[in-house]
Amino acid sequence: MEKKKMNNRRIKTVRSREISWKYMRSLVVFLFLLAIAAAASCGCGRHKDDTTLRWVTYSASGAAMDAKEVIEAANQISREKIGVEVELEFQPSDKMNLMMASGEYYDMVFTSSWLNVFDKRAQAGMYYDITDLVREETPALYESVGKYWDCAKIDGRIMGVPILKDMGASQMFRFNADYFEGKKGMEIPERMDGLQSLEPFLKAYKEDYPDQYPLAMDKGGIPGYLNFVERIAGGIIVIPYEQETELPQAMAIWDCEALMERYRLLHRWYQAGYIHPDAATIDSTDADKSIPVRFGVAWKGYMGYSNPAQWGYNVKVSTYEGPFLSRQSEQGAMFGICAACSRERAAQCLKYIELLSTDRKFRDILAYGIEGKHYRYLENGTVLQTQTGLNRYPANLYTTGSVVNASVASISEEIVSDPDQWKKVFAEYDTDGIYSKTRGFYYDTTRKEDIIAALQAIYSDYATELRTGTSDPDVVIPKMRKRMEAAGFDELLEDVQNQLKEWMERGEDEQAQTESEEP
Amino acid sequence: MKARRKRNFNPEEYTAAQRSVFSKRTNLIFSMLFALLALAVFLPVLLVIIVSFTSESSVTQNGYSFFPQSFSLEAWKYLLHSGTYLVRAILNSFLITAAGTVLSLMLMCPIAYALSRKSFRYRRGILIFLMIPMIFSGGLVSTYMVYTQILHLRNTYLALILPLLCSTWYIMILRNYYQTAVPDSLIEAAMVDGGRQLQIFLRIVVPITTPVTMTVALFQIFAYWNSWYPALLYLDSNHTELYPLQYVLVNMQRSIDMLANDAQYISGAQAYIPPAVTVRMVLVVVVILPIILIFPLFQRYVKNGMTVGAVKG
Amino acid sequence: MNRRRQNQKNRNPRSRRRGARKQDRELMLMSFPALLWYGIFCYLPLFGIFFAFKTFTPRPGESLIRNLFVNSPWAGFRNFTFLFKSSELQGILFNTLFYNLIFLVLGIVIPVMLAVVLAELHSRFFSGLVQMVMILPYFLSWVIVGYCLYGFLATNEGQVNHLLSLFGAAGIQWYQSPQYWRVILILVELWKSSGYAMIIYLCAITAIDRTLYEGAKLDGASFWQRVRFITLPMLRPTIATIFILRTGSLLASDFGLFYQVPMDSNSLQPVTQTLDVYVYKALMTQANFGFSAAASFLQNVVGCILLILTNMVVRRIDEDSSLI
Repeated sequence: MEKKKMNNRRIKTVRSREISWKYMRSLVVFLFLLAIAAAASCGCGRHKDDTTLRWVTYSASGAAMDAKEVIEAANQISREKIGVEVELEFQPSDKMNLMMASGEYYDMVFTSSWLNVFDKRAQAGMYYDITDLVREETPALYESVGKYWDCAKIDGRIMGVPILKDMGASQMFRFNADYFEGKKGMEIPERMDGLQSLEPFLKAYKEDYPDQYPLAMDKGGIPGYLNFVERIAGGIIVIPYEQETELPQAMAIWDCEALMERYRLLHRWYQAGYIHPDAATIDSTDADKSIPVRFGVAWKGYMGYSNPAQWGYNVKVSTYEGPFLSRQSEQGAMFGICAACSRERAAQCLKYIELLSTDRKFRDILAYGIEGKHYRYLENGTVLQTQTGLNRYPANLYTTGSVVNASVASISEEIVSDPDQWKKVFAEYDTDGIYSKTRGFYYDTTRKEDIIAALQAIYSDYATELRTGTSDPDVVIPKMRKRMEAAGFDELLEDVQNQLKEWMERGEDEQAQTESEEP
Repeated sequence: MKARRKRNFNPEEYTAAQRSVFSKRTNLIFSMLFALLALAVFLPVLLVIIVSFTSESSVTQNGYSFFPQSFSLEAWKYLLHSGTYLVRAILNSFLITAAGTVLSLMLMCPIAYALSRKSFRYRRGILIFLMIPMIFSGGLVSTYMVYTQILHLRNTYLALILPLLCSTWYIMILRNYYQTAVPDSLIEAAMVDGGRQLQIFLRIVVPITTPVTMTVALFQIFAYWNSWYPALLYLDSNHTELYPLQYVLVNMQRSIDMLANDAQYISGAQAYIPPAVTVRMVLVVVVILPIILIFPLFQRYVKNGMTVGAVKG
Repeated sequence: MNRRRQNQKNRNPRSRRRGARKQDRELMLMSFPALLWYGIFCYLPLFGIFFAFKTFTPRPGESLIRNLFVNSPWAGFRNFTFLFKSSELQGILFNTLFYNLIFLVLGIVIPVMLAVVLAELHSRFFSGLVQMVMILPYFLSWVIVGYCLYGFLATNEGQVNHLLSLFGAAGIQWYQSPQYWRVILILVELWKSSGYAMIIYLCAITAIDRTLYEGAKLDGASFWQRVRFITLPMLRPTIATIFILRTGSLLASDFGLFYQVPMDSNSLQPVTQTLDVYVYKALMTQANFGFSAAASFLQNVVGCILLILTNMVVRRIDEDSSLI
């Protein structure tokens, strides 16, 4: 009996030792794996090799499904032509901010006025000064960008490459033409005069359908409704394009009469039932095809809004404002080259950007995918994306290089675009473009960032309901003003005005200089 | 051991009706109350499920409704659309969930046991050591820097497994359970027998504390299955082969939102805008489904009253 | 403390101590893997606290230490100032504390009540079903919760206004009516988190020695007596743990609940603005990680003090329930 118990116990301890040994073993294996992983990936330091560039660009939703294949195809060609390959990464905005904030290494990065803010980064010295390099190494690129280099200058030095796309913003209405022209016999001109010219259309529809809301409006407000002013510190301070004073003035939102009028107009429309009562909480109205009036920000000749198959009726587009050109709008998309790059590497980056900006065939690969699979060329030279293309490699235009150098996309076999669209658009910018007088001025936020943050928080307590017309600006804005002034608004405005004045004085000096150099 | 436990633990003795103090009537009343509560809790979830089968046009016209005008499978078709991609992602998710859950139990249970021993000399020190990270954290940027610049875990499975491995919260729950469920006398007796702590833990403590192990395992399974943020942080877009399911779904969601929200900004040669609202709900149902599938399995392990009696006798 | 008491009890201190030391060593070894994890993944990133006092301007491609100490100048307390620029700081703090205190109390009372009763239900199948249903909301993201709620509260298409119109009442513009939202937000939070907490408590109940219950039953104890004298005392450590941990985050708030659930509606701002929402709104357009580090540092310091205080109080009342 005793013996048996002893035996039992021995077996037990042996077994439990086995178990505990197993446990320890798996732990050791785990730690070992950890060490290996740490050691193995230590190898991938700054660059894979001398001819592969790490290029980080933006995409709200990660890479398209066929991105790998497409990049592979592009790399083959670029290796042949300039001996450079890219490792292209599509990163969402939060990740991109994080990468920049943590000092991660890259060669080229997407930068702009709205994401990974160019002025701020370039001032902090994050980007390579390409002023001389671009002229020496890539004259064709220098040529192609032309006067738009201005928007990439910090203190006269070129710190980035602007991507040529729609450089200004044309503000448009999109009408259900079947209803307004066909049924109501109203005329939709190509050009309308201002937002208020929409009123008769809204009124007509509301009379026919009292239960419906004719104006497409979501929490974002009218897209680009602030484009007619220059915006500083997230739109709290504005510089109107057209001012009565000789020198441009920076002013508060509440002092900008045109803007206040716009808010009042929207509120009137809200009360008249043209705008959905929950507009300030609606994410998107795109699914609701019954809405007869929408907005758009695009360029002359843009066909993307006009696909009847998508909407179920013919769409007619009418420009009501613009095109507005400012430093902000021109900085819509840019390349930044890492300041830590060597000269050779920066030159390689520029060569790659040059190839994207001058070689149409090559550009179309990253823009639309692989010919035959993702898209094909129509007779007039425009591109038509296939269903596979739309699903597996949706157009990546402004994030992967020059838009102007890519072929223009058509909607379908029947609705074709003008292949020379961009020439006309840029010609229009030269003739009819409304330029900001302070184009080139950028506000250095570093000293007042805390005030701006506090003001932003206050602004966002009112902004959505103001821009959707939900709240009455004459009631709400005085409240906002009071809070903002308590948070240091005047101090910020003064700083903005001082910097603006300095900039204008500097500009006069520079002008005087160039004039004296010329003869 | 197995045989012994079977002999001592007789399920008949512990059938619910016997141990409950509720009379049949009280039971009925409370059951009804719980049924009502559960229904109220379930209504919004039901709404999600119904909307996922509703046609997009019906949603835009009438809002979310329990009785939609027209049903449609369009949103579900959209999900299946990206077929092969999903299979790989599901496999990844399985791998990460399994490895992560097992590893995290292997890490958390022993330390919880050590902390449950009142005679452990460093108990207080370790407790404080675990509490500090619960209050102070380095924040996103520094964590990201540690993962990418010190440990170089970018684009590895480990980067998805490691972040969720331990949680002071669950360690505390495990510790409290060990303290309540395992009598000191039991462990002291085993120690007199010369048992080592690891043996005692594996031979005595683990078998009688399955309910808490399973509860923590369940929550860890869900945590791993639903996690996508580490994937966003540590996987680059050219390593799609590592993507877990949730991240693929999040990306799908984001791209639909982008199409729907930014249509007025981007060049929209798009003929097809996916049904944004209903797809969103489909993705939610995909998240809920595994929970409904796994929960009954877990239920079998969390039973009352089988703990101490089983070992003592 | 414990050790000393034990030694006094023990007749043969030397052998006892040796045994204790062996035990300590073994337990330490068992704790080691987790401690290592904490060291690497929680303590190593703590250098991020520096960001609160630095103007962090890293240069790409340079080493972390260089970026932290050479490239980034000290900022003093400049990163903190944006928090105090707001004229609404009082209201923000009030909201944060108001909701957290309510969640602290209701978030414990309701799940405990549910768990205690649910554990007694006769039908195991039914109890399991209830648990499963109750935990589902925990897994819905706040964005989805926001959409669901919108489905109920939308002005024209919402279910609630439909119901109101059936009774002939006028519809309410919910997203423009802040007076209802304190209650709505509390209900939503309880709806989402109660199931999870309930399962934690149910699990803790299974740890209770059943013979205690059997004995009580033989003595003719009623349900309430049983709960009062057996269940609650046995649950006390778990409840205390949860209570102490939650007081540590009194200044933190669930951003999703207060920003995404009310759909960031401007009119609701007076009742939804908590500290985290304020920080998010302030830094929405300019991602300034120094500012956010400063904000969370402040929250953490306050949380730490609160946690230590609560722990001290709990310790005084019942030593076994205290956390540290």
